[in-house]
Amino acid sequence: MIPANGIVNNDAPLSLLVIGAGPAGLSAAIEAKRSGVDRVLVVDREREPGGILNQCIHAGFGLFHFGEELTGPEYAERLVNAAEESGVEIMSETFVAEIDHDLNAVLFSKSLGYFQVKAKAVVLAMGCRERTRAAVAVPGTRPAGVFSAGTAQRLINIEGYALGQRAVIVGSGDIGLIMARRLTLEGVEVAAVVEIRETPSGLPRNVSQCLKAFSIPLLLSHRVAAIEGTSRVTGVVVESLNGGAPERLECDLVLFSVGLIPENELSAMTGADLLGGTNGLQLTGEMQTSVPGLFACGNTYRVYDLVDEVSREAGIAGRAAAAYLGCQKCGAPSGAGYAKSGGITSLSSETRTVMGQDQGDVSRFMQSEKDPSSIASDVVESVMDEPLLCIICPKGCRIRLGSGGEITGYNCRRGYEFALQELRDPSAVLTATVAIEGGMWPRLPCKTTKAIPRALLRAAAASLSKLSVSAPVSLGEILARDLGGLGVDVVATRSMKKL
Amino acid sequence: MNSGKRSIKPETTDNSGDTLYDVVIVGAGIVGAFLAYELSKTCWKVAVVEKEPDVALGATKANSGIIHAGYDPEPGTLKARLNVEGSRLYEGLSRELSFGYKKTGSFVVALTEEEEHALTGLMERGHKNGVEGIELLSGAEARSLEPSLTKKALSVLMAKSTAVVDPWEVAIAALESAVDNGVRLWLNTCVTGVSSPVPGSPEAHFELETTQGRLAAKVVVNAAGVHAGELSALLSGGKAEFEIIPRRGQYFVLDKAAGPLVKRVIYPAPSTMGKGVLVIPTLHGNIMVGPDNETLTAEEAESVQTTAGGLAYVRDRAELIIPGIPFHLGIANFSGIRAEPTEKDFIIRASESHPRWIHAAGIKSPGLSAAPAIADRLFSLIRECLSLYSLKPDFRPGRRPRPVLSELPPERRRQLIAENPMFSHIVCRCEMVSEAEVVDCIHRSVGARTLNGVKRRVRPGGGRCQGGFCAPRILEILSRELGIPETEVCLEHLGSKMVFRKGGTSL
Repeated sequence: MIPANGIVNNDAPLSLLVIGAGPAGLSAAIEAKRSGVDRVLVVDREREPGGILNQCIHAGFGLFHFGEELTGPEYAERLVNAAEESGVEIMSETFVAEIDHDLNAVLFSKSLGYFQVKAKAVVLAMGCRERTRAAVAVPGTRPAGVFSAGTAQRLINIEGYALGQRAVIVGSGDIGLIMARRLTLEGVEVAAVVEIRETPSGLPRNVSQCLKAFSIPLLLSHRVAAIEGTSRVTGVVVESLNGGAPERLECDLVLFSVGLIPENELSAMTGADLLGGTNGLQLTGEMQTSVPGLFACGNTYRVYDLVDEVSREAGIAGRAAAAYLGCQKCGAPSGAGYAKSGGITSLSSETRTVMGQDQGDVSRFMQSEKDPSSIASDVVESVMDEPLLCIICPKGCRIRLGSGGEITGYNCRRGYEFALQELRDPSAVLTATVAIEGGMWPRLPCKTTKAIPRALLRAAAASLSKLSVSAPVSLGEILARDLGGLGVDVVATRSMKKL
Repeated sequence: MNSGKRSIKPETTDNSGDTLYDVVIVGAGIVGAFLAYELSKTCWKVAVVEKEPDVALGATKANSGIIHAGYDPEPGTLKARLNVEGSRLYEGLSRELSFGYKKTGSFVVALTEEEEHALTGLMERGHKNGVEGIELLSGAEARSLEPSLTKKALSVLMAKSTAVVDPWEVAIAALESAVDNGVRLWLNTCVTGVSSPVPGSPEAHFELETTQGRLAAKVVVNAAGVHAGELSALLSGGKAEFEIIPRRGQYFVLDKAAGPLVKRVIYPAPSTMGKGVLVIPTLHGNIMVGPDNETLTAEEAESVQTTAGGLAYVRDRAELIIPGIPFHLGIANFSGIRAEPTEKDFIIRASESHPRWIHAAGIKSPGLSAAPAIADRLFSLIRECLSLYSLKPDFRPGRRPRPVLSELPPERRRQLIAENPMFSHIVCRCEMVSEAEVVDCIHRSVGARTLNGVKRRVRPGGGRCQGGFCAPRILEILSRELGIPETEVCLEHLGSKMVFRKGGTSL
């Protein structure tokens, strides 16, 4: 361990320093440790490990890395537990102030004060930051009530504030889409999501489940021409790129979701090669930077769509670092399994091919189902008008119902099941927060144990917002039984100790 | 106190009492700040009233931040004299008051023969104004010093004494020292009415009606910036002695990654519309580009929005002198309002209506550069009004030292963190600002009360993420240190609350 005086003895250097305890850093550290690296230290500036996953209380994570759908906090807690079990040391509230080409780092830590570390290898996993309003040069005033979507997500989901009553979201990035749904469930009216391009920039499944499911208008080929208000924001002026009169949308909250930029300020200090246009890193196939012993993974390398893919590639970084350190246990991935290995190369590519396709025996499965023609005819018509977008995974299959009632366009059994469910009874798992007394934060994330009818999500969220629990709470603990008589329980999606 | 007519409430009470001051300065901008600092050296009882919740929120907050060398103003004008005098005072003041000051030097770029003539004219003006360290360079010479400069540059006027500051920091520093030395600062206090004493009656005084109660003053200094015309109208029964025309200028601020673009302030050759669109290396290593120059109506005096047209103009003009500016590295846009007087020169004189009412109005560019010299001149005018004059025996120049972690060498960082563990808690990663610095800036005598107030003093939120990561932390610290709920913490102006209690969002 680091000596009490806070100065690490350079004669006994740390094997591997991982900077950032988000999904990338934790996944890399776990794999490095499992590959036999003797001492792995993960440092993070936040109060607790988990990174941005802690504020992503919605579901949609882990289908590939853990083989089941998880919320962000659940995914984070699994990684933290796995890291601790494998012997990775995690030090929170620790800020890396400097790091040089020879991997000498200066850290400021709440527990240890000022200290220096000389690691034999380093994994960079600092994540990314949000592009700001200025990056898209939206004119107007600079009043209160204008946030980047991720900041708003943190303030609402972790810190438990309300930010306004009527929102406009600028940009259709995934965080913005997720926040449109989140705000709606919090009782905030989302006046519109405004996207300058002709197509939404977030994943199709998020457009479907976050906007369409709640009838939130998506204004494509539109831009925000001005933000108005002196003290608090009072509205935005929206104009179509195709002409027409500008329209004023009244709102008291504006969120920007206009892209992410890899955080590479520390990387630059080491002299590692950056990619000019995106601020990402120039890496070799083994997740190595141009600096010997310096590896990188996650959003600090490039911005990913899917955390499962971050974990997978971070694992490669961890194993590569282990190999660099001379550890030979560097064979197959030893982490939590993927559904099937080798199913995917890159999820952030345009096509978003799906990892580990789980086809099953679809034809047999179909035969056992009821005749699709029993589905109500009005539903059939509406589905025929527009294909149904499968939201189970990021691939976003477009499922159609033929004139004879046959379901086509899915690529796995889950897609077929989703389509049937959507046609009969559109429903979703509710993710929300409840008040918690005596914990590190005032809100505790939670979810329903089963899907509930989509039409009832808002009412269920409203009833949950009145619930209050006391720390300590453990992951999966039942917080409420039979929510609103819907036959579903509400469980905690993270643990929270009593302070 | 010498007024037998009314009781003067003690200073320690709230803002509701009548208090007689020797001097009341209306406006806590750069001029009011330097004047307050000068007056704090005397035994006069001095107050500064400011309508905003923080100091330096008008033109001082949003301008180019340049200490001009002084070759631009017409010789013989107050502008010319005070610019040159003021800019010479800055370096010493920066040490005395501990504010940032960086002598960058500057280029004025001529792209045409006509503009080359203009440069020769500037050079002559500079010599007449007493500016040292100016010389003409060829385009090639200039490009060897500033490789980003356009190849179309025919010649360049180089001035070595041009410098950059954070104007709000200068004002905060001066006022902080003034308040430490006994000047009373009234924030959120807007003057709404004036009753003036009969001229020639030395015992009588002005009564200022404000949104926080009444104030009495023997001498009033009108340093109300863009509102100086309105204030003068309050004195003279609705008829202003001069008008102030608000002129808006818009800017881009670029990430520090763009910092190496230029080392010096780059000006185009001047036109009738002022100094034009500049490319400015800021004190903290960012690049700032602007301003345009848009005339507004009196009603728009607070219209500090940016516009698509204004920003596009700035881009286009700046490209003429520095091609290929990385605007994609923009981290903020802002606009500021300049106080353009109907008279050509600075208006620094006693009012026509009353000899003990002194105007410091129309302080547009080079107002920041001239401000210390303007304060000296105002001081002389005040001295003529007030018979008793003595220096304060216990005056302490400057302000309490203010460690800036990000600027310190490793050994000092280690020492600070050992002394105060709050220095190890970095709340702003972009600018490397510690919790200790944020807490300190709140508890200073002109302390931060708002998120933007903290940003202006110690920079969290002034960096590339623009507060995305630090805003929740600053909110928490402000709430804790001020002893108010997070839901009461404002971004900037009154009512600019950031967050609400869950379930209670009514504004």
